Amino acid sequence: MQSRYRWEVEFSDGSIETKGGNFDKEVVRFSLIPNNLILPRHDIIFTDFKFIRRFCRTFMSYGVGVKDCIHCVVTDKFRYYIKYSNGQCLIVDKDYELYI
Amino acid sequence: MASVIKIYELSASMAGTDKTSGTVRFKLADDTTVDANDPITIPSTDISTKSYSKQVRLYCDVAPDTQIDNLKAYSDGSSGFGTGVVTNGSNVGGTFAANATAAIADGTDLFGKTSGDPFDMDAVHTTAVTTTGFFGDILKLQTAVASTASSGTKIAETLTFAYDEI
Repeated sequence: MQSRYRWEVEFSDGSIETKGGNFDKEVVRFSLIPNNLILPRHDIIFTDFKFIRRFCRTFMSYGVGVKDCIHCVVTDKFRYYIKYSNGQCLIVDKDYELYI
Repeated sequence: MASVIKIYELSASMAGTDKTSGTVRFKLADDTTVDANDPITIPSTDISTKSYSKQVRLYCDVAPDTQIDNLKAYSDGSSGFGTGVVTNGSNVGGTFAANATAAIADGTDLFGKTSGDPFDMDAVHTTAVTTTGFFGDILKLQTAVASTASSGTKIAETLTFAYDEI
């Protein structure tokens, strides 16, 4: 499940990073890129809001292992959750914690 | 590279058994075997029969790029075990103690712990996970059967674990 997407952030100086959760440099773009072309790509362009941090939340249970993952991008205005199983996104309040 | 996390059942030893692709069965024996032996008997009086406790913990098999934290565990909020069957859970921290049939301390209804009010599984073992090995707190579980319960094998229920990875 975790391998369905990869992510990257682009900084204002044009450099790219693919590891980490929060960064010292200004983030201008976050992209979640599908490894499976059936899934949609997600690009967040930071214009009137700021990148705060990102993380991937994984859900597991007995007999199944990893059931699903959601990638979360936290900004100063909202959170953007993307579900790995189907590529759906959900935009919520910046403090909202999503569990499925 | 994403981490690889497994779910372990700790019965009779801290080393435990990998149950990521398996199940956990409540029974009147202290082992991790899923079979029909040692079932929980239905009592004839109002005193419930308690299973041996079950202890579950997460294990990091491949370390994350940066860290794992914010560990939660919760049910779907609806027990399919039927009348007279109660399953309780308790966060017992990071230290393993032997399983027993005595009522677990501070047990709360597992099906009262949902995604909106989950068990906080890094309340005691608070260190963010950066390397392989057991991590987070141990969740101790126990099922009690009352005289009002019906006989037979019960349906499987799901316990969900969640964690945040950077």
